[in-house]
Amino acid sequence: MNPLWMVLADLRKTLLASLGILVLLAIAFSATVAVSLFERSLRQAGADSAKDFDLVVGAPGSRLDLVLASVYLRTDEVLPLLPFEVVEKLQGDPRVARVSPLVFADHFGDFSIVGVGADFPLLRPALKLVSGRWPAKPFETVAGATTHLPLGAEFLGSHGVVARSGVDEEVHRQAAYHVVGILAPTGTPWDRSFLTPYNSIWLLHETLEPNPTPEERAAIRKVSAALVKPRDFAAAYALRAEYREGSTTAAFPGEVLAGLFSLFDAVRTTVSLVNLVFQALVFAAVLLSLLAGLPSKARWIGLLRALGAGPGYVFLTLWIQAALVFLAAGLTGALVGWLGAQALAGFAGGQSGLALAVGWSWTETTLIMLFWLVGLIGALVPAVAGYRTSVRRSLLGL
Amino acid sequence: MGLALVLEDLTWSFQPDGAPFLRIPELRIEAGTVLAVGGPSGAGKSTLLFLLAGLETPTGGHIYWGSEDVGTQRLSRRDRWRRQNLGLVFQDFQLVPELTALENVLLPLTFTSFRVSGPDRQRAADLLARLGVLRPQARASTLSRGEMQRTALARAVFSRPPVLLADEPTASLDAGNETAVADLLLEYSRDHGATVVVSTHQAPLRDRADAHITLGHGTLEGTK
Repeated sequence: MNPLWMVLADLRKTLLASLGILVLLAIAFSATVAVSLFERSLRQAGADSAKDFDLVVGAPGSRLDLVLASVYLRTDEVLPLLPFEVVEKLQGDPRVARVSPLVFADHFGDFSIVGVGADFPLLRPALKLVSGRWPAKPFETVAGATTHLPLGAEFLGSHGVVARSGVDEEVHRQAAYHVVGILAPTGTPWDRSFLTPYNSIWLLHETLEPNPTPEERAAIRKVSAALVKPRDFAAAYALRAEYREGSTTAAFPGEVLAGLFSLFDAVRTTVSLVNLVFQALVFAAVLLSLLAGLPSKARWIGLLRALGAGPGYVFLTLWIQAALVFLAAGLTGALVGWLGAQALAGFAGGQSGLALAVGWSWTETTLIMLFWLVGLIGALVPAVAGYRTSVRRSLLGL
Repeated sequence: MGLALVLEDLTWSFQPDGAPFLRIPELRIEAGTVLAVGGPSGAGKSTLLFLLAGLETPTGGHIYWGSEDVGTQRLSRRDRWRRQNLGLVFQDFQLVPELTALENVLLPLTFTSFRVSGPDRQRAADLLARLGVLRPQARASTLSRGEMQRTALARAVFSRPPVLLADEPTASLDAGNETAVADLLLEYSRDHGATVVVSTHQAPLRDRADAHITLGHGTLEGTK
């Protein structure tokens, strides 16, 4: 048996309608694939960025804000400041292997200038220099990969992201930063930052007060957060518990992100559900249109039966025809979904500084298989409805 | 060799227990006969051919082709019998317009096998050439009416069936093609001893048949 002759002959006749059905199905399916791919790439990049961050200590407040600021440099919410004594106390703590303060205050353009301690490069081995050296004194800085500033460049920091809007009252003209090193790209928001010794930022802000009182000086000598590497697992949990008491808070970024990702899950579930309903509607519409198209096939179905074709041949012809459209729609939808996820990742990556790598996995392969399975079963509907067409009626019209 | 046809108490009606639309108490046709079926439109000529082809199930009675009672066989058996023993020609050709003339002739082969062999293709091309279809690779929709009916005839006789049924095969053709197609039908019967039943209301074809019957209001009105 070879129903392909009739399958191709009839597809040729119904080419436009078949292509239309294919496009509808592919669009419906591509949304599901895109969401699946994009969500995983976001989760992966989010988790990768947090890898070097063991424990973050900050002033009491939102732990989510603390983690977003220290891991992703999202400083839209101004963090409450932490007295420097806390950092000193941590430095003296035997359970602490390394600690570095983080000071978020100034910007160059929309790149963050982050004040860090001498231990910072050791805390974050993923940050590697491609040229130059780490800063040794105030106002020396290493530039993140996407700042595209060369070695030896000088720039003025400003308070807040104002330089581009042309409002330059808040530009700190007292001292310029000097690029002494360039960092290799990491695919994290840190690519869009400048790292400098934390006291650079203190010195700048102190010059705003010509004769600071001890109180004013103490108000400036604060940090946004402290990044801590505990000696071991037990120390990590002990430190976290201890620094959640009183005038500080502490968080494992991984833990906070897990909470955030569970929110992702809820969003993804909702989006998937909406997608599913959308797909079911398109499926139903396609099946109805296939059924509605059956009368136009009645003539050749009757003819095939008259020429000696069994019902099985007619059934296969109808089934393969519909199944081919579903199979092609699955492939097209997957391709469009993948391209869509790439575009989303490019856009979101540009916004956040995260390098979002869209990678195919078994999840998407399973989605295609499921789509195909449902399609192959759905294609049975017109086949079952059509294969017992009355030969007399279709050939004589009586 | 052709098959003999015997009808016994054949009745057929539109509804299972309605009044018979067609009733033929008895008819015997020897193998190799060309039988013309005449009668006005609506007399039941097409219905009789559909019954003879096993495409309709009689309400009562028997249709024997040789020793097989086509009227009472199971559907799947009838499909196979039709495939092996029957060539069909229709008034409106019934070609698949998207396939070429050659593919239309070979189409019934794909009901049972996946590949069509080279010798079969060659034989189909030769047959088309002999029947006067000179563009076997042309889409059926681009053929002239005469070429279409010759292609349909080629499809019907390709497997050399012992029985050929033709429903008004020349009614849609001009005079030249009418004669040519009638010639081909008679020639096929003569060359292969096939039994041919042809419904027609055209006198020339009827007169050239070995026998003819006339249907009127679903019953036999005359025989020769």
